[in-house]
Amino acid sequence: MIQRIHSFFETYPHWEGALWKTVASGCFALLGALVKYMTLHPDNQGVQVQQIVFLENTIGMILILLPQIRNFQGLKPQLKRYDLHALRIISSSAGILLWYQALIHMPLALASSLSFTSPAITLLFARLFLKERISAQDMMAISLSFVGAAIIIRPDQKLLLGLANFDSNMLYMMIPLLSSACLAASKVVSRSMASQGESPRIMGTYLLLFMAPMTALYAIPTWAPMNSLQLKLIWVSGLCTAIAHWAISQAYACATVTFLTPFSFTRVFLGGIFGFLLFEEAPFTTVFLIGTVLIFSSVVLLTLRKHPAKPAA
Amino acid sequence: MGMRNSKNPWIGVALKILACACFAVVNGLVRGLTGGAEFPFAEVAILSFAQLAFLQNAVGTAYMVPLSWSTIKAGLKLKHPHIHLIRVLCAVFGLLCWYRSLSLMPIAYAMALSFTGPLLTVLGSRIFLHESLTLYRLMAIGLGLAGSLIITKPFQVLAGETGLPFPAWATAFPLLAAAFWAGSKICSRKLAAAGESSLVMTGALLLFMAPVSGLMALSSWSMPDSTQWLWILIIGLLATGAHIFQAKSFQYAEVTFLTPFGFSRFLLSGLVGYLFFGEFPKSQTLWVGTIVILLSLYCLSLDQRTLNKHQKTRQAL
Repeated sequence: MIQRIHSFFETYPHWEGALWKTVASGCFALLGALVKYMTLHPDNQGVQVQQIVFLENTIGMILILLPQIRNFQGLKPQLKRYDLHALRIISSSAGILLWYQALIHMPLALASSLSFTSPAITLLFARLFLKERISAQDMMAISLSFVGAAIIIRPDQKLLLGLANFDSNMLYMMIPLLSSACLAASKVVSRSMASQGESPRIMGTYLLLFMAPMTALYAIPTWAPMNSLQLKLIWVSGLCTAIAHWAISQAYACATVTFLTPFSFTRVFLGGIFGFLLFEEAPFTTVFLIGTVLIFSSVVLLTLRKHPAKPAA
Repeated sequence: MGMRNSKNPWIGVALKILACACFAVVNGLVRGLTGGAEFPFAEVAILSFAQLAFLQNAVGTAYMVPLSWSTIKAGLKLKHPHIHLIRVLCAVFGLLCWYRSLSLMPIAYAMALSFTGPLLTVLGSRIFLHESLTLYRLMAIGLGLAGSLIITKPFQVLAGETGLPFPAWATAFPLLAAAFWAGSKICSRKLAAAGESSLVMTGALLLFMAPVSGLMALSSWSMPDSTQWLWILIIGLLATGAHIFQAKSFQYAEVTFLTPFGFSRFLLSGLVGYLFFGEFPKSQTLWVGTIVILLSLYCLSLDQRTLNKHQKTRQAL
């Protein structure tokens, strides 16, 4: 049996990539569920989500970077644009922090679905800041994404947990979009840095290294003692982060981005399952499904882009 | 120089004390509103300290926008964005740690521990600005350390019995707040040395403090009701007022002349704690520790004075 699976993956390596991508998405979904579980657990004594994110990030960072510690020599940024490095690290950290805020305030599947607006926002930012060209097909994808998000965020849909208040509803619904915008900004900055000659490996390592101190800042003022359950689950979630990162790199070694993108949608389905099992969330209304399909199709459209954007003359 | 001498320095002193009083009242209100102690003026639901810090910053910015639009606009023309960034982060997280400590411990304790800030500034200036450590400064640091050790009683904490009216780990927050503020002060000095105008520095704080603290407020956000809004507005205005009075006071008198009057912050805050919440610290160790820390700050102002004298004689020569 194992032999057959092995030979299958040898003949079709892109399906191995798909498997890794699914594993990574599963890890991210589990991670979100774990963080939410630790934060909302009735035994939690005032530990806030940013503290958990900080610890999970730090453990994950150590697990990822420790095996590569020998390669650290000569890891100097080629590009002396520290402002861009800082901007990138800040926007990613803000994006991650906002993402977990979104998770604890709304159903997992809903937040995951809205987070897929990020590619469309990235394209918009690239148009605004890098002056990249946008084709009619791109315009279509961006509109699909936003229409999908608007359908989901419809304020009359009481999708939020225990929030009767209209204002708070709207506020919380905006958090995943804000998070997507921050992550999109970080992606655009990375792209601009890469075009100026910075190596992706250095950018990746720097992001991992500086994310922990950035999230630490937000964790410190609300720090509270953790209970034994949280201390155990923190290690599990750190491990999850490391596995997800590793699986993603495996996936991209096996297959192309275009082929792999649809497999990341498993995050929404798994988020739905975890949400239902752990938090009794059932956001799967027709409206939600339509919105999600629209957002997904925009992501697929964007990954199918034939001509990678060239800067306008 | 001539302009400054023609003004009455005691007006500066009055403004400085007024600023300290505003800060003291803000401290009291924050302690009450965040559930640290029972709020004496009205029945108000507890507000998270992070949300309070964010809304206070937002009120401050909103108040200053029409008053000095040029200041706000100046905040966008940063010459040294990375130092400004560290400064804003230090200011925000200093404020957050400070409000957390107010929600956890009586004001007098938090205040006494936060007075270690100037000493950390001296240490940080040695490390980052390469300023020299004079005998006075070393003495000040030693005394400050001794004072905070007397208050926090680390040995009793390790033995598991503190006698402090709050959990032992809470002492970390005023110390962290002091450290962050020291960091922000060192950044200000570095910026001033690099020729950044004070207008740009204030503008940067006004512009960026609210968004940075806003992210923090999300995790414990609840829509404030009308009573809470009223008090938030009062806190925001008092804090803004305190900053304005402080800035004005420097126009009337030298910084070193005003420094000792800044110590009134401790007395006034202690008074507010007593008047608002009936918290009168009877603990002798607190008083002894505070006096030791204040002595160390006096050492620092002595040091500054001798420095100024040297400079004046040098100028005269």
